[in-house]
Amino acid sequence: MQEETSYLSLVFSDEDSRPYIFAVLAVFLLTSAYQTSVFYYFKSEEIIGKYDVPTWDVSFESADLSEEETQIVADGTTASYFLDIDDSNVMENSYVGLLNVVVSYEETSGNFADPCDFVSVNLRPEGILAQWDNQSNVLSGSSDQCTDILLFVQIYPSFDGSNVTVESETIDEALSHWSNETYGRGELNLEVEVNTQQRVEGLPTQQDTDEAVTVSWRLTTFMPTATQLGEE
Amino acid sequence: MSEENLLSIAGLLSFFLGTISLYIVNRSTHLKWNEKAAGYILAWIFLAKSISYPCDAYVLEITEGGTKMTPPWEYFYSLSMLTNMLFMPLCFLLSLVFPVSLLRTRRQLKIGILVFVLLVLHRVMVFVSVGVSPLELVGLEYILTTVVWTTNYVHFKIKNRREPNKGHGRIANISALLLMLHTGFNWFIWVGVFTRSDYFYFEDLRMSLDASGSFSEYFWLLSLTISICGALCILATSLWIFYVDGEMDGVGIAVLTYMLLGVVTHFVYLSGAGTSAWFFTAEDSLTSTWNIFTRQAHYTIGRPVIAMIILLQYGIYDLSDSRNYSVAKLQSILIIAVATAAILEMVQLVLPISEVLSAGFLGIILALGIGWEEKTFHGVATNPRSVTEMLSESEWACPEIGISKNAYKNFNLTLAIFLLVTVFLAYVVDVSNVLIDGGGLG
Repeated sequence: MQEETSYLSLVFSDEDSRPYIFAVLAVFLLTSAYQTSVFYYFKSEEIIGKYDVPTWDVSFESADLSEEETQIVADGTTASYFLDIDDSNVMENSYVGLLNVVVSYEETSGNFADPCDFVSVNLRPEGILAQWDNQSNVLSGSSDQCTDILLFVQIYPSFDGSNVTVESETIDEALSHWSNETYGRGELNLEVEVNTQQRVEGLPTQQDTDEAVTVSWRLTTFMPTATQLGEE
Repeated sequence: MSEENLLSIAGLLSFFLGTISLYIVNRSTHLKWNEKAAGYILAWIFLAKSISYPCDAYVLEITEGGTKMTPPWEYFYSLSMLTNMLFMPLCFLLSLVFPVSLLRTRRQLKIGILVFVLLVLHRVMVFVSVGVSPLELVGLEYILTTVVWTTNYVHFKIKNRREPNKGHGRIANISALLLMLHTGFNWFIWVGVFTRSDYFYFEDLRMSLDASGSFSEYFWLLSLTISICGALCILATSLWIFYVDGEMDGVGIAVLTYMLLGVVTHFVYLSGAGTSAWFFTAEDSLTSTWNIFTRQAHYTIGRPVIAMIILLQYGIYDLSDSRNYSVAKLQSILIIAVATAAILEMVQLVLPISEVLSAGFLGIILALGIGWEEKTFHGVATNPRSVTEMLSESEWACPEIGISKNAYKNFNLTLAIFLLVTVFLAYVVDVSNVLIDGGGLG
């Protein structure tokens, strides 16, 4: 008797429910076929590449902000030149990348045989968040030949204006390294010291008491944008 | 509050449910062999989950949602996987014996048990020796249980229309409830199958250990698709009967609720970030919160409550025994209390309630909840109707197969030993680093 009542014979012996059960089994088969076609055909490439991390080309639209200041610096004294960097001089969505400073002067006394004065400059490593320990920085310099003194500060880490390639899931992540507003905001102080010179002691024409020193600040700001590579 | 917390609560609930069920089923002497087997299997299903849920919670926590492989993730992940290797075949075995027995002769019973043992041993051997592999056929049991329980549901629902008041509708409902218990977490993402959504087709089963587009992933998604199909067939049958007869029972409404939540889930996931996250996790706060209110709530509250209904209402517990009655009542109170705490935790997630206030609410709700629970318990416990009783005069009546008391004892002992052994096997997987190195079969 037990052999006669198998599960399948019981299920399919009922004429009322039999067509519905066949319908259920048909739905199972059809949906499975659909899912298989999606997995192996329609969505195959997307599924295989679901863990691929997109690559982004980050480029920088740079802009230079220039400012110039001239002061008459008395012999044997030190003058301070200040540069304020805040939201008023950095555009929205832009960040401060680099700072170049040119300190220039001439012998302006007009006296006969008066030689160039000795000018030394020192940019104090404070006032803003920058890469003060960067090897490329030039924070001080001097001249007694009336030549320009060039200074440089790397402010934003790794920024040199050239494009970079990064891997990240989203564009926001790709740009996250390049969106720190705290770098470069604040006030810089450049100290300039002037010492007048005489070629020969005692000649009155060689003597002057001060010098006009011009400081040109050139601040490079950048606006980063990212483009996904390999996207058609 | 996070998914980890809820999974830990689910582990606690599963432990209460498993141990107490084991005790009561053991003391219930009136049961027919398939009911007794179903009682034990349900108990072990929850005991297996009482280990795997906390392990999943811990892995989620230390790996920050499956994104950072921080030790000792391998040990706890393996332990969870190994206990799931018992859980899944147990669900399959349950579908073979309950609510109607597919195994109708001693020979069929032996074959059924052999298939169960082979499924467990095969998976464990593959996992311990080569790590994650398509040979494991993860999800196979979803296909098997869905086919069996959906077929049962449709058959008995149709039969119930012709022969009402013979308990066929209740047999259909048990089938639907058991399918919901096993695969219901998956019904929330049913829309994604048909809309080809990433959240379904990109689902990561095992912390990105399977190669993308591999057969493992395909088979897992196939099993989920079929389980979703089962739910849709149950819903369609239910709606058709509602259309024809104007009646829809509680189980039909529950399935409909799950499927409607699935529609909402679709839009929630579409509004969220990418969805190639690990099975348990979500990637942003909205999808994460929604996951807690759907999938995690299913694990934490849905599964234990469904099991309690089946155990109490369908006569697996012999409540004529006063000792069984009081222990079953204690079990219900524990489940209600812990589930209420879980619901409060979930509410705390979306409402700005302080912990002190929520503790106060918990006290009030517990007092009310326990009172309500007592009334409900009395209602269910005084009107249980066993499957054997319902099918006694039908051709579906479970055939007599003499199973000795020792056989059940050996079954329980074997499963207890297996769970103990998994603790050591997980250690073997951990030290051999097989999950990372892999077996090259992926």
